[in-house]
Amino acid sequence: MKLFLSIFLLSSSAFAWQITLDRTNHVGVRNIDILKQENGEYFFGSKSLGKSLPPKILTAWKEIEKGPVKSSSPLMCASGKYVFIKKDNKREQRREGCTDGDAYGRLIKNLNDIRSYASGN
Amino acid sequence: MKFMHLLPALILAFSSFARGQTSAELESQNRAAVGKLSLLRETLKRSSLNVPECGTPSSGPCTFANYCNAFSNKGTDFYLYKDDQGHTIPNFAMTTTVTYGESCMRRPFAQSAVNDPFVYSEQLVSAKKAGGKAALQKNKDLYAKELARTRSIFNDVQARVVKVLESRRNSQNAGEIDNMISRVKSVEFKNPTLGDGIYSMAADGCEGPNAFYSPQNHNITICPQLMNMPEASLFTTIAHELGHTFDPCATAYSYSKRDGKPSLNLPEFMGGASDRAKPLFSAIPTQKNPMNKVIACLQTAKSINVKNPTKQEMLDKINKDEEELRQESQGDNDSTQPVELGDATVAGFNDQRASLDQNYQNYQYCDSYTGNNYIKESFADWVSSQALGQKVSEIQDAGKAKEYAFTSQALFMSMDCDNLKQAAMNAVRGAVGNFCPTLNEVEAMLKSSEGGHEGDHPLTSSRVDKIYFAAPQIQKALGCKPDQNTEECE
Repeated sequence: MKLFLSIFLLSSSAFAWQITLDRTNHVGVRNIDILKQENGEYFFGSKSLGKSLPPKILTAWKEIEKGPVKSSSPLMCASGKYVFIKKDNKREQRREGCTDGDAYGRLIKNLNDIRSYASGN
Repeated sequence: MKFMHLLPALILAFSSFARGQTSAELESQNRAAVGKLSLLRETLKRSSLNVPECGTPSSGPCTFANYCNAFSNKGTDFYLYKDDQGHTIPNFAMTTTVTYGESCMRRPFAQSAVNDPFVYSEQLVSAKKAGGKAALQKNKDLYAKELARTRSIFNDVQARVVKVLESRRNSQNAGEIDNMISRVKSVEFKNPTLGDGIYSMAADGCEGPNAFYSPQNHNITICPQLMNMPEASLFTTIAHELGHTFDPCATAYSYSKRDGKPSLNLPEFMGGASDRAKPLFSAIPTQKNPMNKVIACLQTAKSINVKNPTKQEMLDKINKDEEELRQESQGDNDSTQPVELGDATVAGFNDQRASLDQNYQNYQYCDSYTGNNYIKESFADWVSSQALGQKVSEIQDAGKAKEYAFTSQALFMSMDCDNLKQAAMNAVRGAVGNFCPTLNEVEAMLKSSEGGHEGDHPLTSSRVDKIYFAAPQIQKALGCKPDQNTEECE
């Protein structure tokens, strides 16, 4: 039983997921950011942010995790589009959003807060 | 077996020990990478302070690749070009890639590599980023000056696009051409919102260098990051965006005034309201579009050869989606009897087929309908090439006309020349090495279309070669050798 629990605990701690924010604006400038969580550890790009984040950064992280709101009508994006890709061990979820508007402003602000924290600024 | 219960603890202890070693190694690698990246930043800074005169390439074929080669010795420079008034073309391939490298470091780079508020737009709103209050004020003054210049170029381009349209008016299409001219004349130049920087600019579509036409607001945004570019670069960009005001998707919609401003009316099948104000501009039915000859030409091998999904292809896609859903439902069901989809689901697919019959003709060039932007983007390029051709042919001094034609394409080059992108990636990888595995991941994604937006724009090299460099006035100004297999759409 102990052996079973040990293996179960170890394998469940290997749970990982990744969010890719792939943004292409109207003139074709493309930016990609990757956020990961692996064994409870947060990563921004290749950089580990540790297993706990300050409240403000954690809030920003959780906001990004939600992704763009799913729209029932086709997107009409004048400024460009971004793809939100969330992958975990089992599945991949893909959604699109426009690269302008309040929600996008908040997304980029959150991303920038995490980037600044990651670089120690 | 009696120590088996200690296994997890032993594994954890071992992994912590291993992590300890890794951390020390990482710290050492980080120090080395920071040092090398700092050197690269220093190189960029030095190059930004001394931008030598850049001669326009004198001959060779009229191709994007040929003109990219003109910058082959500038791969690690901050600017690709500077005109005699100090307007610059930044090496966007390099600035973007350096940012990826900086993100990998475990040490902050508090300031950007170079002081340029147009490349690093936070320097327009933050005294800390600008290097003090005085520097911030200087940046704001500079921005106000360039905003006024951009607005003045906008007015010039607007008048020239109207001229392009007027030159095509005849007794059969006068109503439609006038409709298009009204669209061009009434579009607003939108002042970008600097606000608090990151949030406001991103909300305005200006996270990076960008320009776009919003049909919902009937206005054009030119982002601050483009405003210090030479006049010709701005001319091309603005003319392209003005082209969108009457591209074959925009003219599929009527526009009415909302809150005192023109805005497109979505048809009911796209979720629009059934009652609407009297149209300011009527929709132009596809068969009456005076630009149909150009639109057809853009789809031929002599031009850019862009393809739009046909009605049959769209129908096949609906049928395929329906069949896949049926098979998925069958897979979930243990019964050997064929599974029928629910009435509502079947009705949904039938509605899509009916909508195709009713709406394909008029909305076939809209990406929100077909998922493909190629025709409208190529059309906007064609409008831009016509206005640009008119402009360069009026410049008497051959040297100045040549420089104008060359810098008109420079935004494309700064973002999409393969040699510049490779040079930037090599320089940053050389600095951060294996310390930044994300760089490899990002590079792989950038090279593939996965996750990107296939269907948004045709390839940059095709846009330049097959549309801009197909215009005889631009060829003449550049003095380049035209491609015999390419013809301008008329």
